[in-house]
Amino acid sequence: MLLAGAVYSLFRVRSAEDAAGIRLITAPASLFACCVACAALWTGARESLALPLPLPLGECRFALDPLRSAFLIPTFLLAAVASLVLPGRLSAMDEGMDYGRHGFFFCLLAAGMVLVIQAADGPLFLILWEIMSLAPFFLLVHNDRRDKELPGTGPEQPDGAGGRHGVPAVVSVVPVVPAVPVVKGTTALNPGRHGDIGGEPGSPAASDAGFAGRIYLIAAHLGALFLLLAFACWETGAAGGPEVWTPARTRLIFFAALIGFGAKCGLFPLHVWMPEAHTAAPGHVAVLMSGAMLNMGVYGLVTTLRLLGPGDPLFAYVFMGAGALSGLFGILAAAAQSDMKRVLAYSSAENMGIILIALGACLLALQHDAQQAALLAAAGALLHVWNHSLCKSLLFLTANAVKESLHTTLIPRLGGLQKRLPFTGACFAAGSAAIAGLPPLNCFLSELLIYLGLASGAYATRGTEAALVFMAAFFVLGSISGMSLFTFTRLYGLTFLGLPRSGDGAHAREPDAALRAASAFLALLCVAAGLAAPLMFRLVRPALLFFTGNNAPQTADALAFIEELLPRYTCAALSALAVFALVRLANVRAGRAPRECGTWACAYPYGNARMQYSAASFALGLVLFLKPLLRPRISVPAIRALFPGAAEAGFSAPDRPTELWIKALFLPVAYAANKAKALQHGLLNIYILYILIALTAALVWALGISS
Amino acid sequence: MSARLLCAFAAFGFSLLFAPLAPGIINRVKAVIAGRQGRPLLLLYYDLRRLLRKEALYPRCSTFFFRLAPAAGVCAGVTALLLVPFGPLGSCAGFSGDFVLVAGVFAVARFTLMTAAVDTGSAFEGMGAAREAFFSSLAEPVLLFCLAVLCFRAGVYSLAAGMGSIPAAAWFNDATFYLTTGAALFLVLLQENCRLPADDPDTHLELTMIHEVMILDHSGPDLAFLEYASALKLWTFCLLTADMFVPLAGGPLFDAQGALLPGAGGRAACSVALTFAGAVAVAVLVGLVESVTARFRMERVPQICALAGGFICLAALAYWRTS
Repeated sequence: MLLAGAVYSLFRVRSAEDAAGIRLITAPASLFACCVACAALWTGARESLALPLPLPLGECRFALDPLRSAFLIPTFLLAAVASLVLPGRLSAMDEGMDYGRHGFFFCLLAAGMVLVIQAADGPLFLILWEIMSLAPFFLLVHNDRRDKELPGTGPEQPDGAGGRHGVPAVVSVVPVVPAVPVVKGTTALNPGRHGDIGGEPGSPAASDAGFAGRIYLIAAHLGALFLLLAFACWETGAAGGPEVWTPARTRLIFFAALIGFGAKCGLFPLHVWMPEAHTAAPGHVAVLMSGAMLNMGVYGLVTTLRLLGPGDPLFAYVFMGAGALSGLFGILAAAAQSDMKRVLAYSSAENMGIILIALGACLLALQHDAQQAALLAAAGALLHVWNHSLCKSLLFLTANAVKESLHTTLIPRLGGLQKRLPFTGACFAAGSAAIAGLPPLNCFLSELLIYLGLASGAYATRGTEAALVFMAAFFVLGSISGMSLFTFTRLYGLTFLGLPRSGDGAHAREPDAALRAASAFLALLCVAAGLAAPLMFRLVRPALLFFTGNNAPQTADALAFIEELLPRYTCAALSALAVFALVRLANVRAGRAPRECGTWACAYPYGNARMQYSAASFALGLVLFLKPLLRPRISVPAIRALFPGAAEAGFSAPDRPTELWIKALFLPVAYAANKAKALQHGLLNIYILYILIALTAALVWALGISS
Repeated sequence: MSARLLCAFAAFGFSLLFAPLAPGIINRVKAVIAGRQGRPLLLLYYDLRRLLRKEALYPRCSTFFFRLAPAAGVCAGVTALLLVPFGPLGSCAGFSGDFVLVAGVFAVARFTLMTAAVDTGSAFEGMGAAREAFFSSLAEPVLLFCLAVLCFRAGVYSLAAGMGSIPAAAWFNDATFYLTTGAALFLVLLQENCRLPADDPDTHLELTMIHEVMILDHSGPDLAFLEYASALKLWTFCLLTADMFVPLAGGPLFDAQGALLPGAGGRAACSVALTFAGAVAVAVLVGLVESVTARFRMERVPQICALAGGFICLAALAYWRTS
């Protein structure tokens, strides 16, 4: 358990070193820690540790239990992967940036996540949460203040300067937490408020990274505000704990936590920061943010449930509803995007939705005493957390390789990359197939368990309204996975297959060895985790008992059911692979000496790269069909003249929730602030008038009180 | 190996051999209704033999994915046939949750076929892939839900237990449920196998096709494998639908170890023959439907899925009311 502290200090030390040094230390350390976490989960180890610290909060308590181990594993794994690829990404980024600072916050993010999982105290958790939430902001806006760099902190300085610069900044922001509303308001209106930390004053469209960083910061702080509310409710609660509280109080805590943690894991209407931040983030940061940091939100929700107890039936329904909403809208939005990284970001919202559906199903099943369904759903949820981490980080890494090689991730400008980047293409294909839930890859396994959990729940609760909820959730999950196949076929097919849509494809280069190694490692894990189903279940089993409790005979039956099912699934998957190998062999032998020729396409010889089906046209059928839900902006030129000139037709799928939030929350504040400017015109006599009015008012008030 | 498994594997081999008959049956029915003599019943076998003798051609811009699709399609069909129950014989390799895997392997076949179509760089084939992606994303939840409702109705989560051997008494008790579910499955069959009114397997206008347009550039053995794969898929769906309509009269046929119960031999032979006859009848029904309907406009194709979804939701509600 001291491991956490050790790794943390390692991270801190590393920040002062060169980027390659970070890799040398953090990657093996994280990998080792990942193995330790696996071992801890396998054996179901429980430890705790108290560090007396001179904080006003007293001692810090850390703990480890199977549930925490389950969440630690992907975090450590992805920290290792991300630090492995870190030097290559840094050298591909801007020249003028401060590498030391970047490395410091990178390590801080990883360490923050690890410590958040292990924190066993409310206040400690909040502080670490805040550290973890802030670190990505500095990683996002890394190059935003380049022009305004103080002379002393340039890259020619020893890198430690970044570290020194960063620490006070973080520490100074932590106490700001209670003043979150202020930060929220000012950041929206005047980003320069945070200029001394890393942001830069400027118009909202100053730069992508700046905008992404800002919107991330706002979302993170709003989320933290709700978390603070939840914790405050908890701390000020009457003695006795959730069992004796009124339902109103537990529900308030629940909803505040749902919004707070939901904003972190990007549930649908709160996902607004995700497309921006994930698109702007460089590869290694995107890996940590999408693969590991989203899990923190799930971990927070699970912890909340553990603290509050699954008693209230409302929780299950809210979880399933929020999950269904996030899943459906996430995947719909992903299907209509034209930027690779945005597709991936929206698909994260979808996967978090699936996890939430599974968690809700687990709760609902527990309330109806259906142990089998609860175990299946919980196993599916936990495995999906892992699987999503693997696939999504693989996809972000390879998308980043495309970005570095071709300087764009816009699907309409790509195409035919498989021929030029065969390795990257193969890894991206594996990731796409995995996340679309195709057997025998890993996400299929977790979805199989969730499907079975929902079906089992519908059977166990037959005749009650819960059965209807289970059935509806099953249908929704089916729709989500159908759509995700659409989305990822489009994403992979249009980006990597066919002909290059713009000339840039010709000089595409494969990425450096570290990135290739990391992608291959993740892709192999995606395949292995799908095939080694019994092993994976054995690994998560200790964590599952946290969800379901251990009320003997029923749980044992349910465990036996799953443990009988998974080896047979693996056998079926392996025999399908064997069948495939045989058929493929037969196919190759039958093909004799195949020749290459031009594309026939029904004898249409004039096709060229620009005439290929485009990203917009591929999605158009679905977008038009689901127009009321998606509300795309479609532009079709009106043809008026007899010989019309060049025109453009297309559609975009704007993020309606972002627009809504801006309209509902920030525009009124901006409006009020604009109006308030009138009060502040710099005329001394009017200021004296204000003081007079204030004094008079105070006098009247005081008189009123005394009388 | 138990008697049940032996019989199931025999039925599996029989299915692999005779699956290419199903398209022939459909065509013959259509010809008879239209008053024509029609193509030979065994036309697909002749076609396959002819294609296997030819050489394969690959578009210059295509990659490994283009070559992957034929094998993946056949593999999906074979795997699905390993999991689908042959009436009371059950399946060869079924397990709890196999219904998700059946939908999954067909999704793999679709994924490879769509990527192969996009891989040619042709606008027509991309169009076909986009349509297939769209329509099948609507059909997938309906198919999964159909199979799931049948499974959790039985309380056992394998296809063999859920739909392979429905006792006759239960079937007649709940005829509404089984008929609506069967109707939903049949509609999904039409949509997923690119039959009329979702797709016309006979036209060769790129603007109206879905499945045929995706395989325009496959030739020789590859095309043979793809044709065989789609025949396997059609036969699998016919079997699934037939399972719905052929309940098992009398008690169970096999004991827990899979040995034939004494005196059940005749009944077993009868019910297996009935299941296969049912699958052929479903093919005939497809032919009848194709004879009396025209192809839907593209934007109306989702209505088939919506109708199937409506049917299966009604069936689920009926089950919920009576449980």
